[in-house]
Amino acid sequence: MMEERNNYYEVLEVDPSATLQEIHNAYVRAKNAYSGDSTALYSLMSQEECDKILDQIEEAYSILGIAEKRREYDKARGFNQSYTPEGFQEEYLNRPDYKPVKQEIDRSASTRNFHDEIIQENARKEEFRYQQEHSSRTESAVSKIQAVKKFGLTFEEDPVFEQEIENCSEFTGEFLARIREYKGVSIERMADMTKISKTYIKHIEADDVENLPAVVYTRGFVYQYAKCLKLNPEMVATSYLHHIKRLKNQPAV
Amino acid sequence: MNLSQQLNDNNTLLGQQRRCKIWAIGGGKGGVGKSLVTANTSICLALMGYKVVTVDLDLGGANMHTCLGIPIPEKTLSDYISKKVSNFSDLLVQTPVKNLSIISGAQDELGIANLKQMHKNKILSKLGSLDADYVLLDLGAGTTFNTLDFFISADKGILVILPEPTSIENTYRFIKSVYHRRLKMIEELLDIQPLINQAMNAKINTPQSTPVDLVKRISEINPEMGMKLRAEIGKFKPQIIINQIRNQQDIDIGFSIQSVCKRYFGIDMNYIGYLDYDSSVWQSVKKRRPLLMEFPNSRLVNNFDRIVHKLLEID
Repeated sequence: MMEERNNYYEVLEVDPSATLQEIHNAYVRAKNAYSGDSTALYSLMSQEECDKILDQIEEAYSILGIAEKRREYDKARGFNQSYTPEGFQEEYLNRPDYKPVKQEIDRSASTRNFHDEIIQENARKEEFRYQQEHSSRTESAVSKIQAVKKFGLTFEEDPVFEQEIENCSEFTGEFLARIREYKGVSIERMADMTKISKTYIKHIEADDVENLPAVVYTRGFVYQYAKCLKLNPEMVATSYLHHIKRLKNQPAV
Repeated sequence: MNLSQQLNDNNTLLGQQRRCKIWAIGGGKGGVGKSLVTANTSICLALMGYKVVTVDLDLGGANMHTCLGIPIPEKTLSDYISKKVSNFSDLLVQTPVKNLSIISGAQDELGIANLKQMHKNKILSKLGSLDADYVLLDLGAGTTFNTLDFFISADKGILVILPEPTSIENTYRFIKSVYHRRLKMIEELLDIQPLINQAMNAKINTPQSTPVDLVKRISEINPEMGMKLRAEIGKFKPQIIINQIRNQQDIDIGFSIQSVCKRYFGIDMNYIGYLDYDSSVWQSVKKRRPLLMEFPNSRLVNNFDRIVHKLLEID
């Protein structure tokens, strides 16, 4: 077995703050190193091991090589979370020298204030990002009222089911569907809220392992799904992926 | 010799106070250009104004003097070992290059090729106290304990590799041997030696037996020991040079080796540069003149310049 790589940046052997060009160069380099005719592998690694590594490299590049997907990935995994506002302009994002810039933080602030500040700052950035994204697509910025209309949930609270959600330790597709229906959100509305296609939402709810996209997308999708249902997105996404992984490992009956 | 005595000696080997920096140039295979690199790196450093001593440790096959363009030195390391010469600095022979002297290895003296631990430690401690800025060791081919120990004890270990399978195979074998020997010397890791031996004696290319697996397994059994092991491995950072490159693919092999070693051994190699394939090399050897002196306009001059800057950590 080889050294484990914990994330796509490690797979491509680049720093999380690398530019797109650097990521591309690293990808070409990694492909060279592990392709069948690479001299550097001689006597050390088997074809099978190399194929496994090459798959990881392709998967990593398919995400990190595209600025928009990379941003989604960073968000889900907590990389480069303090961007400069300019980082969100599409044109800027796709430049080869695009590089997520980490925000300088005043280290002298007390720990508590420090966390509060980060939370506030992130909220501001999130709002800014939201406006940026939407203003670049539509003529006018989306107002808060419209946002509430779009993302607000109106449903009759059922204390028993709420408790069940609270106690749930394994979020399956079926359970997610039940929560969605309980909170009065149709699949169509969920698709509209999350920008995830209805097909994928159905696959997620059906635990359709065969048809789910790559893990990183599934994670992002479930994260968004949970967020829209006002659940703890991090916990739900992790739990769902765990569940899916187990299903995958079960032999087909 | 009892164990603790041996460990004490090893500590001298790894951590003694030195007046100068010792760089060792090795590589598993013969004919890959170790002597070329040692000779020309030494000349570069000397031309930069550093005081340099080149030591021919290719015991049994010493010919560094030829590379540097001087006749066979009268006094060699074997004379010091056999006590014919009592003062170590008497072995120093000045070369035609200012600031550069050489200590020659053995000239076919029986027994010197297999130095005793005591002799090795003595030589190392003497080398460390030489009046010089840099001491460069030209090591022999293969993975004998002599070669491994000198490589391990150096402040920087440099591996010269050719972009061809035989050289790469021997390089990996060399790295594995150095790795194993290094871990054996660490007193704190004594308890896990059986595990280390088991992993290191497994054939290369056997699944579940890579050094990375070893670290993982030890970390699971004993996290504290795992940390120590990781820290020790973290200190092992060989420098690599690819010699005789003919195209971009050859240059890229260096990066590939770096990546493969990280995955397999868990070590960070430092790819410090490459040397162009250049026919002036054998011409200079035939003329028995150092390349940099004989062909000052060769592309290799720039190659060496860059390598030396990297080694000196000047950007």
